[in-house]
Amino acid sequence: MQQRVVLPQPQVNAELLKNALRAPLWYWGIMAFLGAIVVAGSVAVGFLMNKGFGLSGTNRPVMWGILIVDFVFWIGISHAGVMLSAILRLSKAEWRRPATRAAEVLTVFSLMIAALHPVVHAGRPWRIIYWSFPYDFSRGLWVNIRSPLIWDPSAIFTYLTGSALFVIVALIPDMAVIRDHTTGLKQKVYRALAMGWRGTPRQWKLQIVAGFLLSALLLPVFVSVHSIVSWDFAVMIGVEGYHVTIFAPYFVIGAVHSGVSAVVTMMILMKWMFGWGSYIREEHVESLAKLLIVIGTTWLYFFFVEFSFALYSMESQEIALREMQAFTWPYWPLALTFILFSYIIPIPLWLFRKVRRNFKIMFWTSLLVNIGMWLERFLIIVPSLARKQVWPFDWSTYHPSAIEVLIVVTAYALVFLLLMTFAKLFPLIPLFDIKEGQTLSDDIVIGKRRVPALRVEE
Amino acid sequence: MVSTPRERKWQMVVDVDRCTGCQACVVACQAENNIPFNSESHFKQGRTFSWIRIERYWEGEFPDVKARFLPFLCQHCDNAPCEPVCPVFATYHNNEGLNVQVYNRCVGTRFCQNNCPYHARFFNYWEPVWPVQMRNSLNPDVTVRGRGIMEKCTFCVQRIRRAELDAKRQEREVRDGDFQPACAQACPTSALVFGDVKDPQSRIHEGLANKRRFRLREELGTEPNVVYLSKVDSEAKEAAGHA
Amino acid sequence: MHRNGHRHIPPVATVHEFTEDMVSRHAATGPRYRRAMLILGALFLLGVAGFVARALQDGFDDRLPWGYFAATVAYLMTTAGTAPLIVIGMRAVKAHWHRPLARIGELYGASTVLILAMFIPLLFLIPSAVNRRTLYFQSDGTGVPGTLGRIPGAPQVYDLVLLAALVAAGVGLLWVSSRADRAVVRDHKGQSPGNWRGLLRQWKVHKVGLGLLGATYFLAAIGFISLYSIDFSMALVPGWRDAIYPAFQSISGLQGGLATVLVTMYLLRKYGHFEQYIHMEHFWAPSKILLALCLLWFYFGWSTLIIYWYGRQPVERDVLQLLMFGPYEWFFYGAFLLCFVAPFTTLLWNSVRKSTTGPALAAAFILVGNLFDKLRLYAGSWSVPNEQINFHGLEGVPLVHYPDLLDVLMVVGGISGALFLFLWMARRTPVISLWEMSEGLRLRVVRPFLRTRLTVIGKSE
Repeated sequence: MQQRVVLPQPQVNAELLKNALRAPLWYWGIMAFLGAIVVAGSVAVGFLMNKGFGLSGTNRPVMWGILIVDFVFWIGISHAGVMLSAILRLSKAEWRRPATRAAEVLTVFSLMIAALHPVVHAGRPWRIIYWSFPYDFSRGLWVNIRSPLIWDPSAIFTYLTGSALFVIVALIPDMAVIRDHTTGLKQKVYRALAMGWRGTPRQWKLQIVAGFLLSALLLPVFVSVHSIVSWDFAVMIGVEGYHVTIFAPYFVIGAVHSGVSAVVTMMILMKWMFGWGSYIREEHVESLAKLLIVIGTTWLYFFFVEFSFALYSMESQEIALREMQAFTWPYWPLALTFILFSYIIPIPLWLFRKVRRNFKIMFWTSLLVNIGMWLERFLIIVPSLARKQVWPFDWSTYHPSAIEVLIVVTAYALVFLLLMTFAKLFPLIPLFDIKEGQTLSDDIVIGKRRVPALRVEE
Repeated sequence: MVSTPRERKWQMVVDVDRCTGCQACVVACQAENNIPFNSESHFKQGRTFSWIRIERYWEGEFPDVKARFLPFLCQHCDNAPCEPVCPVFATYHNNEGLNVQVYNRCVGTRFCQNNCPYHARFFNYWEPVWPVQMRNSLNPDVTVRGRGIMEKCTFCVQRIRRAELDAKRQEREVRDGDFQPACAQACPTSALVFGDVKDPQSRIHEGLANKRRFRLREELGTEPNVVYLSKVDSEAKEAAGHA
Repeated sequence: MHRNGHRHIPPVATVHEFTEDMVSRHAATGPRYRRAMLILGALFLLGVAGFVARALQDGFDDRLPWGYFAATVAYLMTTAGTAPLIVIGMRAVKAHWHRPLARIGELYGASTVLILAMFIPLLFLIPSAVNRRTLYFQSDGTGVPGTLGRIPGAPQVYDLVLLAALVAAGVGLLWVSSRADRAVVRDHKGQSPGNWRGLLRQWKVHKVGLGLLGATYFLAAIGFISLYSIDFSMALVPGWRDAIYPAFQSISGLQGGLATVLVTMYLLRKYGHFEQYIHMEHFWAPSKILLALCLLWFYFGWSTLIIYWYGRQPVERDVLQLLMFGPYEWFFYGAFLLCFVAPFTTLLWNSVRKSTTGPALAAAFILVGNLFDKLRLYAGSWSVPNEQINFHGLEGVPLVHYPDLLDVLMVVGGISGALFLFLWMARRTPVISLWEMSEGLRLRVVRPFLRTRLTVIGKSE
């Protein structure tokens, strides 16, 4: 049962802008901690570039290591934003309101970080931009548009541009509110950012139309991004474990599974850190958990189909690969953890209403999903390469090096740092969306019951 | 005077039956192509370089085991899976049927090696180093590859080019036997035969016409330009004859 | 959008008015209905005759002559068989516009009986799964690791069990859902009201029953479409290993199911004069989902194409030839045009979506396109000679197998049979769900808000 909560608008402003206007001391502590990790990671990247990629644990034939795993993982996380904002906005789900901004911002930052991974992972990163920029500087040679590695940046940058616009369009009314609450230089900056927002009906209408249009246009882009990332792998005939037609939708649904879980984790963290209990309520987390049950089960269907179709070939090589993924050291503990964490533990728990409405359990279970999904990408990428073809002479194994692990950790710290920076500058929950939601809610009385209702425009 | 050079298509025939697994080809290739020495640590890291290598497979159950040798090198596929995946055209097909690698363009995504069904490509994880004594012994015709790029067998393209220049100077076509890649030259049993299939005089036709011919993973449709001749197992034949 | 403040809010009937009207309509049977029943029945009988003739002429030894018949089963499954799925899904997400659609979708649950009847002869036509690439990983124990040995009854028994569950759930869903409505009709006719009293307990059972049967139907439908597409087409083509294909067929099923509901709703509104209850809104809202499904149809199909195209393995090239660009290319182009290009380009425009004809037209395209799609897939895969079935890949692409008169009769007869069952059941229960519409009418009020009037829609738990 959704309870109608109507808070006075000044209170909404004050509470949601609390961190942006005056950050507490612990905030700076977290920032310093994350900053230290990022500095350490940057030094590691510099060292890697200076000494050579030999510092990683990759070898022949496992040419792609955990940086690529992490790349796929962050691309996956970035699918949360549009999945929630666009689909829920188009379907006018009320419970999207406190989640949209956080999800969109997570999209933008995780995409940025994801795009860094393959660059760091290349042999000569300093040449990548020069050689793969899709414009010919009188060399007579263009980039190879047949390569999925050229499709990748096109898709990622389209998505990045689109989702950044999405964030900005939704931010404009809120920036006007901050403008009105600040003075001096700060006010000047926010005045520029608010782009003359006065809240006239025309401006609102344009803002809403822009939001809808971006939602609809971003949906195909969001599907294309992870599909193309999956095609980095699936187009290969050299790696038998990769050449599977289901990879594109399988990756997309897996991405949505981990992305939406990440949004749940993040929303609960926001509630705890900024004390936004009256905005991020049980029913929001509950609705997200219900959505996750559907997404997770669809993902399981794809996982099952993917796995059984490797056996379908009845080729000893592929069956041996699957056997290794699931039953051989060091992969079997990973495989077991993966399936337990990404489906078997969380989803049955979420079937219980009490669990869905419990912030603590939801926090930890949604975190489990992402650990599981990270391992899923690892299990797809690494064992298939280690047993790439029918030549046992060339088989190998892979252990990530310390520097790779440090870079992966840095990626997490960097995303978190960027999110925290955003939280200092802008509200992580859209003010106008919350207010709109309060205005549109109503109820209908039937007999003795009061049914929550919604004012709709038709 | 030759105005337009004849069309060429280089191929190699590997007679597995003749291969003794002596690794002379591996050493010759290493010396010819300025390949850094494979140290113990390279082996431990699983990052050795061997543009041609002898893969040793065991056949049968103990104690009836037979060693089988399979010389592996870049197959110079007509339909090479490594080529379309390179984002910067660092690898492409030239009009002589060679799959060539442009070191300067390579950015080291390693996509090509991943998509190679023959594990034929090698990544320079480190800056190559040689002992001081080697300083004056590197082959001046072959580029020393820096760190962060891919490399692989070139069919000794430098020898092809040298032979072409020599032939041009003498105002004639390149003839079969003018040159050989280092591996074929070093092979004591002549298990490796290299030649131009467009040249009807070439020795390679002998091998290509052989009934024992097969190509590695032909079902992938990569159309390799290295043709193998299968092992003749005399003992198995005898056993079959007795039975 | 509503410019210059002009706002059209559809008139909200009271529950009583609505019930009276529906019951009186239900009592009358028009000449149009009788004519439709007659024509459909005749076509269905012709189809049965075609089937018998085919069985006598060709027997059940060779698969080739039965390809079009297998395609008809797949077509019915992904149109009529999936129509109830749409209702189940929309009910689950509590989309308020599903109410007038609901019974239409449920009525197609009755048509699944025909699918079952048509499916049984097919069981005798597919080869055993032993030593063949199927989902059952069976071998007679020689050499292939990871296989399971013999599994009794695979694949026929499993497919049959799933389909039987589907039929039971489909018919059960219709029966449970229409129970209250039939009682109302009986009340008005003055007959004995039966067991239904409308007690709170009965409504609770009703709700739980709908949930359980819906879940069963959903799982059985997705499961059956997946298994049918694997066992009855993919496993018959050597070298066709396409993990997305069952999911692609499931998406095609959702698309076809929604299209079926939309076209039926359009015809019902137009010829059954239900304009008062079926509004533009009920086309507008699902049309967005239809648009998304068209995009998904393309996406899933494309996922196969790009992997095979890029792989360029001889095996893959042959499969693309057989199914897309070879003997059945015109069916493929037709399917691509009508399942994706035409509906996508029409539904792209809000002005088209925001009408009753636009979405219905796009849905009609899809119904035709879906048929083409199934014909290319099944006629193609059933034309592979039996002796190639264990090969690694196709040995040359089989020649095109054109449909003959019997095939046409069977395809048309099958479709007519499904429609016949729908219409026949439509006389046994009100064609718009009384209880669901009444619930909707109660949860919908028009209230003043600031200077305008807004519709307020309640969402019950």
